[in-house]
Amino acid sequence: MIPVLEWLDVYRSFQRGVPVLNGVSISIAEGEVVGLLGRNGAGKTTLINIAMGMLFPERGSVRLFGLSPMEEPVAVKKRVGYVSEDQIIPSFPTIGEILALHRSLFPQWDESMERDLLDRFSLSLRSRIQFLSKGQARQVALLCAVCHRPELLILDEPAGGLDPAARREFLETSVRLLNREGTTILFSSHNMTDVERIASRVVLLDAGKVRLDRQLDNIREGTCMAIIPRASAPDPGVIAGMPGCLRVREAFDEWHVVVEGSRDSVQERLTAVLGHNGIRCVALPLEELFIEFLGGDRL
Amino acid sequence: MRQAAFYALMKHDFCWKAAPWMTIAVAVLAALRPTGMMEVLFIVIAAVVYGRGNFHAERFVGALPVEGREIFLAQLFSVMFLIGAPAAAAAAIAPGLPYLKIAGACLLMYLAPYSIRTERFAAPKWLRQMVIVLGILLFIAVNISILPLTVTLAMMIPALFFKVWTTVPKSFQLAARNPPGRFVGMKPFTNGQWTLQLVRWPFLRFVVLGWHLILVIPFLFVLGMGAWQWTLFFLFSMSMTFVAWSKFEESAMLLRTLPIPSRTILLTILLPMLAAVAAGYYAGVWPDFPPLRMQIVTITILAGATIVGTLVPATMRWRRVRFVAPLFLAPALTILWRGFRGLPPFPDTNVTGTLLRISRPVPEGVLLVIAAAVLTLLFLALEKVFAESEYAKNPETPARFWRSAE
Amino acid sequence: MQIVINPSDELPLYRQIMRQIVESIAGGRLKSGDKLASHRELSEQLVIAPLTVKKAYDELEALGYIETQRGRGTFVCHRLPRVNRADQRDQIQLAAMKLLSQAYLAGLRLSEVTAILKDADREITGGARKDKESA
Repeated sequence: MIPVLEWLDVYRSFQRGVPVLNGVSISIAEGEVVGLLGRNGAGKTTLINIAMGMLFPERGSVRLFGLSPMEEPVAVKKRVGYVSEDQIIPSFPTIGEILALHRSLFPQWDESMERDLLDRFSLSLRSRIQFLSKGQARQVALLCAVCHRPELLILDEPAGGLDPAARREFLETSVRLLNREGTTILFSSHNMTDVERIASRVVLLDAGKVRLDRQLDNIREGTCMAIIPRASAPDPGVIAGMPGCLRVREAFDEWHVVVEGSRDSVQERLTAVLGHNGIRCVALPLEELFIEFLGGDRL
Repeated sequence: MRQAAFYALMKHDFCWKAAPWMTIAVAVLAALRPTGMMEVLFIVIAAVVYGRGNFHAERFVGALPVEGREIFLAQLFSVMFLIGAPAAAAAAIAPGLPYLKIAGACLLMYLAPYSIRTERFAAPKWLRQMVIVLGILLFIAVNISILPLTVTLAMMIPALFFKVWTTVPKSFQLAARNPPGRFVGMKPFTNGQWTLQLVRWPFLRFVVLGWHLILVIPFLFVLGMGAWQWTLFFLFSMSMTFVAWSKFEESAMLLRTLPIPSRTILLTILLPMLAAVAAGYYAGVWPDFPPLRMQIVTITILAGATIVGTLVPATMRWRRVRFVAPLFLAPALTILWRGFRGLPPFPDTNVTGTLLRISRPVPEGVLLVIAAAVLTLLFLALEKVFAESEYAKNPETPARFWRSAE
Repeated sequence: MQIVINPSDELPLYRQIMRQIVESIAGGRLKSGDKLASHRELSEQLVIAPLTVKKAYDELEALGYIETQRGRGTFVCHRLPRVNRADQRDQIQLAAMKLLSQAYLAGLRLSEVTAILKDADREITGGARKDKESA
């Protein structure tokens, strides 16, 4: 089975010697919904731009459906839908004209889906893009991206700057697409609740490298955070060396340790090793996981 | 190369859509046999080509399943249509002008910046804005025939076309393939102005040294020199002032949130413009300076016109006086019409003379004071309007009066 | 029945769905033979990935609470899984001791705890067991 989207050891920088992506390898299979998380500037947009053929990887390669987006842009882009936070739809044409352009370029355009979504979003074909609000313009972009029934949907912070209702509508459309077509979805987002709702897998990107690449349910059930007072374990190396320890971070006068395993088992293990010294194990919601892995030492 | 994609892109192009309207407008004008035909054709087409924006592709197009060459050809054909159709119509109706040369020059003006940095989504921003200067140079060359223009065009156009055709990538890139040593901005689509690294005062640099403002200064200079009698140039300069002011307002949006008095912000844009006009005037009359009285009157008129030129677009942002801007449309059209007939902008070009006669009994010192008072009043009006302006995302501009939005 | 999910809860979404369905069955709100919403319907209603719903349903089916009939939909089983009453009773005894110690430490009396238990019963059954014997 060819992966739908695959980056192989991609390296890219914009300034010599300062890599934005430093050896990133991710492989996405058909039907997955992958949430790409990372701090601003971690390289998510660059990674996505490389996938869309808009950037050349200095080293490594990218393949969509086994094809290169730079060598065969038409074959690739016919099967991909793309929505980005800063995608600029030309402001002069009307919605109808933009849709007409897409209709003529994508033979598999689904007219009934187009009508249904236009109705759902309450958009009129005669409105000019420049007079739409940000949310409405984003909805148009989403329309253009999904109505040709793509096999892969790439969303680069699609809900950025949108109000909660607009974000929810976006999710609903994505879920509907998942139901109907089994589309593979890759989306980068800062909104953890959205990610927790529909992602099956989560990839954390930091400083150009993949820090974490796991199934979301595995994170919820199979990892937890242990809070260990500094006094109990002055040497973090001991903790880091324990099997199943994913990350140790200093926070005030405690160590925050992300460990694999259920809460009770981890609590038992740590207590066995370090003694009953006020060790607590708590669940790890995605937002906390994000901060643990990507937050700086100051947090 | 797929035909369907090519047609779709072409139909979507702004130039393609504007071409029929341009052809009709130019045909109508040609039928009335104006003397300023060549300038009209050139300026109108140049403005549209320039206003078209990006010379390559928009990022929106980059996500579509099309190849770079398809995009290039579609754009090229749209622009050729926009240039060619009006030129052909004008040639049919009012023969006798070098339409082919004009059309060729416009095409060159489009191809030249395009051929730079073809791999990326857009040519460098400063270059896109310099295209207008290129256009003017070409225009002068066409007018005074210093180059063997036909030969130049016949050689350069195919050469540039070939260069672009062979280098345009299948998929446009956002950044250079290999990063340079020096840091290059990653966002080619921000509205930030490229500024010269000369001036120390940050806000001056921010406001004044945007390219749109730098371009308007030489126009005002030439205007002051006496080119205001050349109607189309006059109108064009006024339009540039209009545009420059609108762009200035965008940069001023940030400055207003800072503890800088709005008067200071206003003066930073106004003073260079007034200085340019005045300097132009003196450059024009050098070395025979007219009597002081005449100088005062002329400079007041020129300076006043410049302030009014910024006042009119400024009123569009203050709801109460929004009606003012459309009022100027009628006189502007009249002046445009006069330009086509080969007449100077104002019926009685002796406005200066009239004013001089009226002011004869007044001593020069008093005249100076009156002139200063008039200019100050105009400035205060501008200040008031500037203070009241609103920054709605889509301000209700007068254009909406005759277009209903959904 | 109305399923409510909380994406930030420490319990994975599919388990939240499972728990609520099981609770509904336990409380009698869902009876044997009742039809459940399809994957599509539920995922669109809750705005979550359809795979999550599928996972929940698959697990419930494996445990024997529900069954899928091809072409007809998903239904609550007629014969619900037999749980070992003795085991369950022990577990519930432990849970009850934990609950009571927590309540007594908080200063509640037995009567107040009983009232709380009655409220919970009402929620789970949705009033469906009004006619059955009370505690």
